[in-house]
Amino acid sequence: MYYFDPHIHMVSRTTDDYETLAKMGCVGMSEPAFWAGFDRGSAESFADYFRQLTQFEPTRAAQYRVQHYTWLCINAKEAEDVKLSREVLSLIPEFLDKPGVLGIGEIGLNKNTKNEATVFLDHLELAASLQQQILIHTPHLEDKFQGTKMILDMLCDDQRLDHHRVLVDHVEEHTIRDVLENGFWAGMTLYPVSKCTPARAADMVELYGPERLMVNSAGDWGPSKPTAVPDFILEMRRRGHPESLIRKIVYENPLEFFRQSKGFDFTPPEIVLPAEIKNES
Amino acid sequence: MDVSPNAPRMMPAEAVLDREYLEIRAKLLEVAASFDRLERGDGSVDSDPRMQQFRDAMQMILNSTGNRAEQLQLIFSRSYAADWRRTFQLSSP
Repeated sequence: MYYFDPHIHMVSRTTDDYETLAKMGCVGMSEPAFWAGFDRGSAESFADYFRQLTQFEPTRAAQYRVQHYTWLCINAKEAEDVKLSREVLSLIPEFLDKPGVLGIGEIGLNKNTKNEATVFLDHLELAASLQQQILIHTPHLEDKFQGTKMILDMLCDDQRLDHHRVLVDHVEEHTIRDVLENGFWAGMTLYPVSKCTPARAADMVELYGPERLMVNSAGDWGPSKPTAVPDFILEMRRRGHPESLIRKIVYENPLEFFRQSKGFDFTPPEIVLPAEIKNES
Repeated sequence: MDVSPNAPRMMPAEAVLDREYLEIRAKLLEVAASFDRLERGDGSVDSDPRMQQFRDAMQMILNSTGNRAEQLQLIFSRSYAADWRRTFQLSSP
């Protein structure tokens, strides 16, 4: 089955991972900007990172016929530094028209502080003023419930935002209902210990249905599994769910959401491009 | 337990039990062994608030019907205060 991983940090993965993902049916992915595992010292570091996301990673992915898309922001953890965050935010507009850029993300909260909320609101301002889609990071573990509620408060307060153009990621059992009932898309992250397992993600599909729901691996530099989406596919099959339902969650839903971004120029894998026909003849 | 009208059909309970019996048994065994390990360790963590969270979680699993995963998540979550904006002195756009 073809699938699309809507949230994976390939800058942290090897080229072998691209090959493995392609062999397992991954035909597309979106990579939000995130924390590198250490705090960067200047806005220039982010400019280099944005070039990596918009130039280098799509090229590396294309070698395995994986179509790579990206989102830009300063992540919640480094957003504690408001001055640096505002310098980084000023860099983003020049990258938004690059091919494959889908919008602003992954923005959100980490420890639910005032500074994080301030920078989150700055990102919403940028997204609303430039009509960008938004991808949201929700906090981990004990901070998730409180932080997700605060994020939804800020999103719902802003009357300019179209909720169908916002993906709230890392939902779990105690946050998914609020996200879906407010009209947002929801992402379930399959990640060891701190987020969700394939079985629990399948449970949430069985409780809430497949509408506006996606699964992702969030594969990154930490303990994580970039092939987690195929694990979810297998779990759903073992429970006897139809292929059409699984395909909707792992392929059709991501495409439906991403197609709302003008930067999403996806070629379905079934379509053979003219250049390829020419090469084969 | 509330299930969305759009939710797909589930496996029969008997089939779920057949499939997951050994898995659930193994998970319970891991929890039991973890508590033994905590007890064998030097000192005591009985008064640590995290131990109370574990006790609350196990009571809830035994006593509740439905939405156990959601309730367990809430036991391990910080509470939400709706007036957080006022605390932070942040205004809406």
